[in-house]
Amino acid sequence: MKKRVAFFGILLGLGLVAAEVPGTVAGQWTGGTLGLILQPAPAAPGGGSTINIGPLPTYTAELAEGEGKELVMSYCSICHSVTYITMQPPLANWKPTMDKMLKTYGAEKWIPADVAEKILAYLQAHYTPETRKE
Amino acid sequence: MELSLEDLLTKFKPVSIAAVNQCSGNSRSRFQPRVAGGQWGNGAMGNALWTGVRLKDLLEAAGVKPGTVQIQFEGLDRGKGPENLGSGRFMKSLDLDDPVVEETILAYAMNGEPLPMLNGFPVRLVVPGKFATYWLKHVTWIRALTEPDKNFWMATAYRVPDTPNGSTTPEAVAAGQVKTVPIGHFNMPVRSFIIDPDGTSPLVVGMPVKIRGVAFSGHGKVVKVEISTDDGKTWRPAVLGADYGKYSFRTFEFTWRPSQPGNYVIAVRATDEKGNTQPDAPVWNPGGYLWNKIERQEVVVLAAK
Ligand code: HEC
Repeated sequence: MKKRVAFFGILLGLGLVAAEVPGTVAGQWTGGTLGLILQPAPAAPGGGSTINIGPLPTYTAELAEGEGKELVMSYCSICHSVTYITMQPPLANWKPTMDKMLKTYGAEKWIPADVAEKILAYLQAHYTPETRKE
Repeated sequence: MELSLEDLLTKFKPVSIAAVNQCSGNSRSRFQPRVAGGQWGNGAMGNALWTGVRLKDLLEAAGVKPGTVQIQFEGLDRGKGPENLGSGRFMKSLDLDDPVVEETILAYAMNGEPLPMLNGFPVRLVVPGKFATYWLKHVTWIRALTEPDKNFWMATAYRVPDTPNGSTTPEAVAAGQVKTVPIGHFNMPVRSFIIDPDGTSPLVVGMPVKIRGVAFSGHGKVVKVEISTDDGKTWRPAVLGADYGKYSFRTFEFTWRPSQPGNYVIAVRATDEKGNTQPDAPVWNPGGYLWNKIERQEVVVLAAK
């Protein structure tokens, strides 16, 4: 049964794409699968005290492609997601932010100086008012 | 004193309060010159009905010794950083003599349901009228302090200029002239937001359009919301929605029938029971905090052809 629902979902998705007619303007809708509801396993009675506390988001921002991206993705997500980077205004100089992470928040415990330099170069290459793409 | 969740649920009188939880930096992207920090639009806020135990009742049960100046809160959400730095532990403190201590609750329910994990399960602080940085999640320790809290999140972060509206200038900051206080010295300034129309589709001459939105203030009940359809030159009162309590969102509605085609700028301005009204001037401070300038929405009105 579940398989069938998924199948219709895909068809619907295709339908939306095909509905783009020359001369019409894009409407306000988002593509995606309709009617796909995952069935969670029912809770079993027992002595535990498990309480439903809602979903956790898994979204993190997609960073610009370029040299050093992997270093940023791994070292700058030790304490928080890299979404903090894309949430900033385009910063002309990332050095104060890097220093804040390394010294004020103690990231130098994990991030070697040469890696920190490469990360700074990456941020300057992709996230300043001149270099930031989006 | 140690209390279990069950103790909180059964041994204390539950109270409920509707209150807005807003990030100190909500609307930070509006700051000119721009400041570092999450570039929020107006989305960093929410309103809910919180149910829990009065902080006052907990303090009474525990017994607060003379000489206490602040109450400190810490939750289970620790960071990966070293213990002695802001990236390791997160703590906030309220002055014991701050009137908000009377209204603060340790909430275990949000809109009548257990707190979701991201909202602070199992218990979080609800500090009505104050910014979200004080609304600690996963509260686990409550301490009585005999000296003002010196931890990073009180002494270094979330500080604002000690001016009437928390505003200053980049020049004064650069000159090192700005005395700061924790943002908890401020209640959230009065604000209002236009939700409809949102400018995505044109309006039609002669057709009524409902201008709708929400307003709130950390100083108390919103008593007036005014709408302008001429960019703030003239104002007319909107109809206020249900009153869910003085710290809650309050909806408003105003029916407008544009009579001429063209571009219009709608503006909205709220006033609270203490007489605070939104200014039409921006604030500026390095943290990007306390924004409450009058909001505007551009709309296009087309002739009904
Ligand atoms: C030791 C932990 C830690 C590491 C590692 C770390 N950060 Fe942070 N970062 C923090 C904390 C704590 C905050 C502040 C969160 C808050 O204010 O709510 C923060 C905030 C930020 C912000 C928001 C702006 C600001 O100034 O607060 C940016 C941007 C940022 N980090 C970038 C980075 C980058 C880039 C890296 C990789 C070099 C990094 N972080 C690594 C702890 C860390």
